[in-house]
Amino acid sequence: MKKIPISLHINGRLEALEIPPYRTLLEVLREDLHLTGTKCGCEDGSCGTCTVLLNGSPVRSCLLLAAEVQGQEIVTIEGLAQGEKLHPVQEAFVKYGGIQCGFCTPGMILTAKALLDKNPKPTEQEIRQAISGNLCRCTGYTKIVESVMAASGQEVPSIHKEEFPTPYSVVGKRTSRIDSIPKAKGETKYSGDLYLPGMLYAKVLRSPYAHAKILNIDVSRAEKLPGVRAIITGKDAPPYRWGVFSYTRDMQFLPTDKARYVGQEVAAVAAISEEIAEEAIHLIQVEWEPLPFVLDPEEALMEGAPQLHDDKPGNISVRIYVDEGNVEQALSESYLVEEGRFSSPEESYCQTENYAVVAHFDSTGLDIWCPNAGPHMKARPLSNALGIPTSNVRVRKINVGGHFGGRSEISPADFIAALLSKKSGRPVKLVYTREENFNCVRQVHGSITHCRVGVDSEGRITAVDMKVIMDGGAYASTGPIAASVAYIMIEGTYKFPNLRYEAIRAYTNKPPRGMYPHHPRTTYAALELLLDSLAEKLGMDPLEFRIKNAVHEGYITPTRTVITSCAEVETMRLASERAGWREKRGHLPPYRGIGIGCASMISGFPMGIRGGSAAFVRFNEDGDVIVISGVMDNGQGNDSMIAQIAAEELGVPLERVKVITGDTSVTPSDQGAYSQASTLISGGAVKAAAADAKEQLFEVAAQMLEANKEELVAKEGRIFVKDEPKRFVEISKVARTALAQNRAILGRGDRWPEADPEREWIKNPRGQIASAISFGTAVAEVEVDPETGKVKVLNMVAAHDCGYPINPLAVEQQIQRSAMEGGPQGVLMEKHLWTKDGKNLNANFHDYWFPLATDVPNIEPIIVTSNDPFGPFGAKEGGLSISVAMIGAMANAVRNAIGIMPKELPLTPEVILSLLEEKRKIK
Amino acid sequence: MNLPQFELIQPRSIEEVCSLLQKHGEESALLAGGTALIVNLQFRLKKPKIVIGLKGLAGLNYISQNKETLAIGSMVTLETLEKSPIILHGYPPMISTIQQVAVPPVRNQATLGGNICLENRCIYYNQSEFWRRTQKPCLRLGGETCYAVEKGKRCQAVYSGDLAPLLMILNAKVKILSTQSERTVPLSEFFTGRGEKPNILKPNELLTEIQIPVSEPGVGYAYEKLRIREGMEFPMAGVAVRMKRKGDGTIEQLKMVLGAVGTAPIEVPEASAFLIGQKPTDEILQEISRKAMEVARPVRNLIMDSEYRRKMVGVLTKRALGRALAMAEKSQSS
Repeated sequence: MKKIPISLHINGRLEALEIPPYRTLLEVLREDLHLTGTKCGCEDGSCGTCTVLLNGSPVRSCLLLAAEVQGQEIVTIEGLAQGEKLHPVQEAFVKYGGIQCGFCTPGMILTAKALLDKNPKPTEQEIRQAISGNLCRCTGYTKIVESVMAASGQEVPSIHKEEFPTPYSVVGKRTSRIDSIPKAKGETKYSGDLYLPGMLYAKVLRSPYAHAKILNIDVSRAEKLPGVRAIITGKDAPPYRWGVFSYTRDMQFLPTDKARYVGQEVAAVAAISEEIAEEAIHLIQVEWEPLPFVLDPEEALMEGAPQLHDDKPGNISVRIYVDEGNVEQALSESYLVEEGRFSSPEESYCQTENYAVVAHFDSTGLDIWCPNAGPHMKARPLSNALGIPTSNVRVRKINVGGHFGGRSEISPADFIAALLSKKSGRPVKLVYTREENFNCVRQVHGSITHCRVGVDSEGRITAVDMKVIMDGGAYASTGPIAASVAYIMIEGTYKFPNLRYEAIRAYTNKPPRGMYPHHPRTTYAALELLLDSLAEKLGMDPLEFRIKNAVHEGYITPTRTVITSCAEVETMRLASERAGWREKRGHLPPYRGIGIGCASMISGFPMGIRGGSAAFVRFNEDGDVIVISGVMDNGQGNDSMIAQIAAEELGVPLERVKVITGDTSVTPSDQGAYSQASTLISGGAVKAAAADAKEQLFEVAAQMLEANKEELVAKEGRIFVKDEPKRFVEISKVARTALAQNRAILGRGDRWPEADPEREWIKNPRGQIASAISFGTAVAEVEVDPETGKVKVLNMVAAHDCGYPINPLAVEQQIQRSAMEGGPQGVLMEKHLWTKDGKNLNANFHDYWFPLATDVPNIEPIIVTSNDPFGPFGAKEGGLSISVAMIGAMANAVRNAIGIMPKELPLTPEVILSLLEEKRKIK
Repeated sequence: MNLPQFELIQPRSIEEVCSLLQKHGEESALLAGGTALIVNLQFRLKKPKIVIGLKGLAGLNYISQNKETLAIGSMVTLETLEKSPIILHGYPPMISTIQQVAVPPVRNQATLGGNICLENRCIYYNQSEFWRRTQKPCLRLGGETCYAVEKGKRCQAVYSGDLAPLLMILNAKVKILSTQSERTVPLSEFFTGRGEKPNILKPNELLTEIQIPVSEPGVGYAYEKLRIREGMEFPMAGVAVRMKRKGDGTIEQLKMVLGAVGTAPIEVPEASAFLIGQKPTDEILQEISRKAMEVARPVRNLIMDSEYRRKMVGVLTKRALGRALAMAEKSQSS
């Protein structure tokens, strides 16, 4: 098609281009002008990451043709700052924690700027309205709203808190993250923003069937299409099956036998343009033999159900069975027993960044940029699959637009891009659509839970008996872990001696399900709802009930984990106090409710040789510090966290610490940011490496100061003799002096979990699970409209025992995000619906109810400390307990409001309406 | 993400648009705000050879009020309407209606004409090309199957515009232009009730203007929308009500239109029978709500359960009636 000349006025400059007329403004910005701060996060103008300002108003650049906006003033995120001087909105976002993964940030900041230009002193509601078209998955929106408020110069009581009490110089201080400024400016690169010379574009051919044999794939017509450079099918892929565990190997990266869910990859093409790749895909002919399929997990487990994997009879992906004490006896002797069956369909992660991979394979090996939560997890399977040594697989550092548990495993996309690059001899980029991000990476387990709980007459829990069926989708993924977390979290939250837990993860012909903070949501909802009901029957306040049953330091769980640091009861007291529990519970008007929920969260779990982290700390000749660690930052702030730890340990200001992280070509192995162990293990390794470097500095400094090593202290950029601050030397000078003495300061350290190495998910679910456990309590207040069943969230408060906050701002961010994930997302809104033939009906943001800024109030985070003995500076996992705790809190709040126990999630309006009708009938 | 290939023509005058439509009507699509068409192009639901871009047009972007009529050019954006002092002063419920459409940035682009001409929606149709290719084409795509209604013989895709029900109860008219004719049609006659082609516009026709009669004293009206979240969504049900109240408190006129529960906005003329000449009581309002629920015909082609949508028509009706009444009472006294 003939190109047309256009000229666009962008960021104050006139750009002349020749483009096809059907090119959107977004494509021109990103592909032609390489202004990649503007993002593409969906296909239907729903996410807002493509926002630019058109004559001062925010618009969706994906819904505009470039040719339509000539002569109009366009401002992208790159046009906001004046060189190094940030726009006040950018500054506020950086300062007040409005930025996490950074993917929604450019759109968010531009929208906020446009608002303030027209309405200089907006109310909180007006801000929420203005940003309601910008989806964020990381923040829960509170700190974004606060940032905009602050940028407008208005008072924001919730951010002007007292400094967190800290004896330290850097740790414990509310700190802007070290990567926030580039994110605020749109400079941060995600895989989809990378352009390598000669790069090809890939597209994937996917199965239209939920279950079908692949009889033949004919790529001949596609091969002949001009512009096509490589095509791969199962024939090109290694024949073996991959699995997270050696005993869960069930997945080929490109199947040779059959496809097991609608959307599974079957072939892929790399071409000189996305358009040609797409056309080529349509020219590939696949001969299918459709097979019977099964979509319901209970049906999948029945005899006679279609089998997905020949070596997994009965469609049982994993069975976890734990039986401690004597549950039947305990229940039969209990004063009261409550039981219930709870069900929920699946959820999705909805990371705002669509999965994207850039791979470059040549004789030196593979360079690959892909979303991950630990690059070492991906390097090994790639090396096996491509037949090259792991040391030749370089999973490079990249920024990730959200993870939440869904991107830690090797993805067929990674393999496909790598193999296409190998075959074509050129770099290959594969960018998923939003639909593919929903369906072709990971989803979140649906589940059915039967739960029985007993209490004695004093209100002590006697036993918990839980049977869970998890809808695992077509492949194992992290099955053994996913199927175990529920009982591990529950037994770490409440004291009870008798625990029986059976989880069966079933295979179904749906996309595979991965890890998620609060899955399976029915287990936590079941337990917390039943506990509230029991408490009420005993005449006990649900808060008092939970305090009575809370775990404490020294407690040993039924499966033999010792609780070390624990401030759970304090989280219960603080959250409930701040939420006005005592005044409200039992005293609210009809259809208003308040609910409480508690949870624990393990910091890491046994992972064998991959369970530890090692780090290096080096000094530049100018005294700047470089920390080298395998830790990965997905937006939770891990890069900043280790910088703060290193800065504190070394006694240097934070600005002098840089980090090199998450890159298998450079950084040592790390256990990955998907097991809540980054602070504990990765941070611990960095602290050890920094301490080692400090030792070396002290050796040199001791000479310079004519003092003993043991007398020295490092703080605020200086090493000085304790109690004699005038006897000091600048650390940068020490580093230089060391070099002059022919020695380089290079610290090394590692950290390994103190978990029981014999503990195994299936074979031996007993022993210390983690080196530390965090705890949290959430309280939610809701108002139900009895005519529509709609729930309005009035308040959310969450207190989390993080041991010690390395960065209180980051911990608050985690708490708020988790509250959003557990409550509005997990309990109130999110689910998928399926057609009879296994297709996802709502793989888009219009029909998948992803909460908007206007759907939630401010979330109040409370940090509680317990000074963990194992964690660096006493720190452990930073906020995820709340994702589970808020499930209980929100479910209980709704139950309190409507007076009947829900049995399914999510509690969307039609569900609540039918509960209300059921209640009326009972009366 | 990329769009299918097309030729783009950006005419400067309405006459040019009309002659383009005369020549290329069947193989072209009109690009107004783009918030609907671009998505349909992205999903390959439409593959026009030519796209006629209207943003550069002079002559369709106006709001003008005279003694009898409010006239709005079809290319006026929803945001312009939302901020217009004329609308705020003369038609305030239109503002609250517009504020419930999509989200603010989308309203910066979306046009009134575009919203009225929105194509009907169905979860089995508004999907990606890959998704649709996994099954035989539905009725709307030229096949023989309806996936929403078992053994359905006609397309029941939902009319999903928020503005039309409100405009219909206001007795709005639309002006339709072609090289051959100019006609003014009541909005109530604009919709076909056919899921696959919701309005009467012929391939060579352009919607140019929306005309709304000036409001009278004693009139109150309201639109209530069913959505799950506070933003983004197309309506899952909608009820627009207009009533004219006499000084003695009895209702002189009642007009009601249901949205998003059928293939077109549904007028409910029977509703007026309950109320005309009477004072509105709770019982009467309940009866009207029940009638509305009867008339509503939602089928399972949105994500939200259709039985729930039908029930909500009753709730929305009650609420719309209440708000309309309050506005009528206030307008009477002032």
